[in-house]
Amino acid sequence: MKNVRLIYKKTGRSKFISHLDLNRLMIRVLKRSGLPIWFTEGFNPHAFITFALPLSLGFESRYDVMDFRVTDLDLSYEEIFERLKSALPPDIVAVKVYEPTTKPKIICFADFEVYVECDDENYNKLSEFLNGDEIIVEKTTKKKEVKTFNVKGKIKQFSIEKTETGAKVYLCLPAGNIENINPTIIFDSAEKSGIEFDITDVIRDKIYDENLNLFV
Amino acid sequence: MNEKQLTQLLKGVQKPGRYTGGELNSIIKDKSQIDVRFAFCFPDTYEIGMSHLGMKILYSLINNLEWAWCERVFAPWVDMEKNMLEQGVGTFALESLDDINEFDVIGFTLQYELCYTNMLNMLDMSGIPLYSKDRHSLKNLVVVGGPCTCNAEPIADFVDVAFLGEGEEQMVEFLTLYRESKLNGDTKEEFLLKASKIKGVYVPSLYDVSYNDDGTVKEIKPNADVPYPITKAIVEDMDNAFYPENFVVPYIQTVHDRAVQEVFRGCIRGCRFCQAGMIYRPVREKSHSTVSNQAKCLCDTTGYEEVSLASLSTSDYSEIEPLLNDMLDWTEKDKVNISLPSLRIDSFSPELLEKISKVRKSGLTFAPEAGSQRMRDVINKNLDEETILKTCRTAFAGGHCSVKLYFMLGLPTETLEDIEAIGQLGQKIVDEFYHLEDRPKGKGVQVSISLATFVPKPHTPFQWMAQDKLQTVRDKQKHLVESLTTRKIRVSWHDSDTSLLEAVFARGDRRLSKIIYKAFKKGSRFDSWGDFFDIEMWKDCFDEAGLNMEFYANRERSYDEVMPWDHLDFGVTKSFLMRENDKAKEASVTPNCRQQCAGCGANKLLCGGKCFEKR
Ligand code: SF4
Repeated sequence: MKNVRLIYKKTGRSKFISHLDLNRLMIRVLKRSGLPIWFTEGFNPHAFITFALPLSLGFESRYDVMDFRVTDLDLSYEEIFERLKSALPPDIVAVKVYEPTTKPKIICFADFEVYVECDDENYNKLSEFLNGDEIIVEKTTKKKEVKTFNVKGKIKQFSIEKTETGAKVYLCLPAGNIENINPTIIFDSAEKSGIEFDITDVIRDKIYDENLNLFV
Repeated sequence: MNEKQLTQLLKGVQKPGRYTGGELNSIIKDKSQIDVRFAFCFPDTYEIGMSHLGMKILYSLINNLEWAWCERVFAPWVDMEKNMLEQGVGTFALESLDDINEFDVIGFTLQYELCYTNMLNMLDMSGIPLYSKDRHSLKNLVVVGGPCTCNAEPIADFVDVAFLGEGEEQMVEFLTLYRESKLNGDTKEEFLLKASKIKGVYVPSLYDVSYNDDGTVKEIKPNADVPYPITKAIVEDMDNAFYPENFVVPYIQTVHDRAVQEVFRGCIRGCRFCQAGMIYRPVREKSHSTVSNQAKCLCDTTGYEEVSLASLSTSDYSEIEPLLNDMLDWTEKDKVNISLPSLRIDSFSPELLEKISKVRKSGLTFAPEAGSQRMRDVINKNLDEETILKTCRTAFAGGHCSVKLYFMLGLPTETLEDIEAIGQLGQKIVDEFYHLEDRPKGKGVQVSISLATFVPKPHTPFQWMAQDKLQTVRDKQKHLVESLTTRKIRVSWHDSDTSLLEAVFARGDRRLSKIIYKAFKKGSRFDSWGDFFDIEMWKDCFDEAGLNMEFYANRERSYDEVMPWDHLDFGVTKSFLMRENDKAKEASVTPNCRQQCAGCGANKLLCGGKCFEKR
């Protein structure tokens, strides 16, 4: 049995594939690839695949990670890469394939780029909002209660820069097993405070461990 | 529309995956290199449309033509429709995201009558005139196919062309002609006249209908030099017929999320209520090696983990055992499940049952359609009680403990005893379970009875019969429930209001076009989805037009009456249908095609004129 990590980009129209659907899609991709996939044993055997960090519906990703296993030890990673590449749909692009040396549970942070459309006035307001001391957001707990808290302290790094049509906001946020902050809650909060803009795209970029070392 | 606009459009929409395209095996072409763009529209949601086999076959077939590009279009759900209207976006195709008004041919597949208003809505959202007479150019030609075209009259005023029969045969010829005409600069009229000469191509505007004072059809007459009657097209040699090498694999879960392998067309049974069993005649099988190879190819290219063997009655397939043996060879290795829908219980052999349960243990479902033997003889459902009970016994012993049974209410000559017999049959199955010594231990039995309302359909022996009135159907449902004495039997039924409208359109004439138009204007959508269906609104439309539903649904017709579809020839002759209807009244059965030819006339569609010949 051989462990395989696939890094791929989820772009274009594939951003509308939900996590559940992606799971099913990948099982079919593996089957199409003809690779000897390792199946779990037991009553209901299924292809063993794990995603390091699930992505929200509507987000693109430049660095999505999926682990699986093949039964043939002699298969080269190049071969696996080529076969996956031809089995994937056009908007899911294989980047590389290798033997994983880390466990997904060490992931703690992720970079996000959020593209918004707005006028200059609202650009300034948004910039002020992000630079302020307090960003109060709402989060629904598992018990379906709505709680508010200040998310500012959770933002590891951020920046905002002007684009032709509005702004590009960069955010590094907690992501992974322990804590997850979805960038959209920050923008929901900005909207509530009266700033007007349209989010046109959200891209998740690099992912990190707790010391902000790149997760590979 | 571009992807950015699509993102805007999808804000707040549930199930965005319905509208985004980009799936595995979807086909993108360079439109500047294309002569004929074809919008294949399914007038229902993505999940339903993407489960439909005919669309998959034609999608592949048309896209195999270098100069044509076939794209898929589905009806937007109400939330998406709202966004589209607000943002000024018309009905669009999933591959290019282009508006369907940019397409040469706009094709709808009509699988059930209650999708007609969706068809109008999809055209209207793109600003395409709804009536055929208001579309003057060759571009945006509206064509329809699917079983509903066997009586295309209720939508005749909207469509330019209706395809009768099997699309693989006519489509390439039709599109080739279209391409020539387009490059030639032919007018729409010139093209339609030429197209009407292609087998199975029906151009409603080239035929006139007149009516008697009592509202029945007087005469249907060609108004140009065109065929009369118009005969359906069929594929003769199923082994060499086109079959796709791959399917578009949806991202989101669809109704049938698996590979579908067609096994044969037509049906050897002659159930008298069943339209599919009549209009797809004669039966034409693929050889078991073709089926197995095609299925393997599909699973390889799609990555599906399940393949279903599709036909009207798969257990009647003459090579079912060799087929299953062939398939098990590779499905076990590839971890693919085989699913066998619509198995008829009278052809279950213990060996076959064993094989199926080795493959997959799914629910036991049977369709006796009627409770009493007399009633089953009337409808020619060749199935007796002992066979049902025997099969249940075998299945119970094999570990099953729930059974689902499908029945129809309102069948011709039905009495209250026939209805009680439905419950009694359920009871006998329950008793069978408890009498069995090796029944599953520690479990109870559950029999579910699902009731549909009988809808008389054109081209069937019951095409002359009346549908029960709504109140009668409700009384019968109640009667059945009251006759039950055990809670081991559960009864459920479909809404009978929709069955009424279905009956109206199934046997309607051209005057119904204006009713459909009115209902569409009043906001009717997704009528087959109970959530939106409003029978009162439909009644208003009929009142306003001075027509009534009872005339179409609840009236018994005489053999002399001209049927609105008499000019459409699906192989089975009217005299055969009359014979069968007469036999039904005497509860006399007709053997299946393999036992003895009943002389239905469909053999004339085949070159040699013979339905069964040694391969
Ligand atoms: S011609 Fe005879 S064998 Fe052929 S479909 Fe009709 S009844 Fe069946």
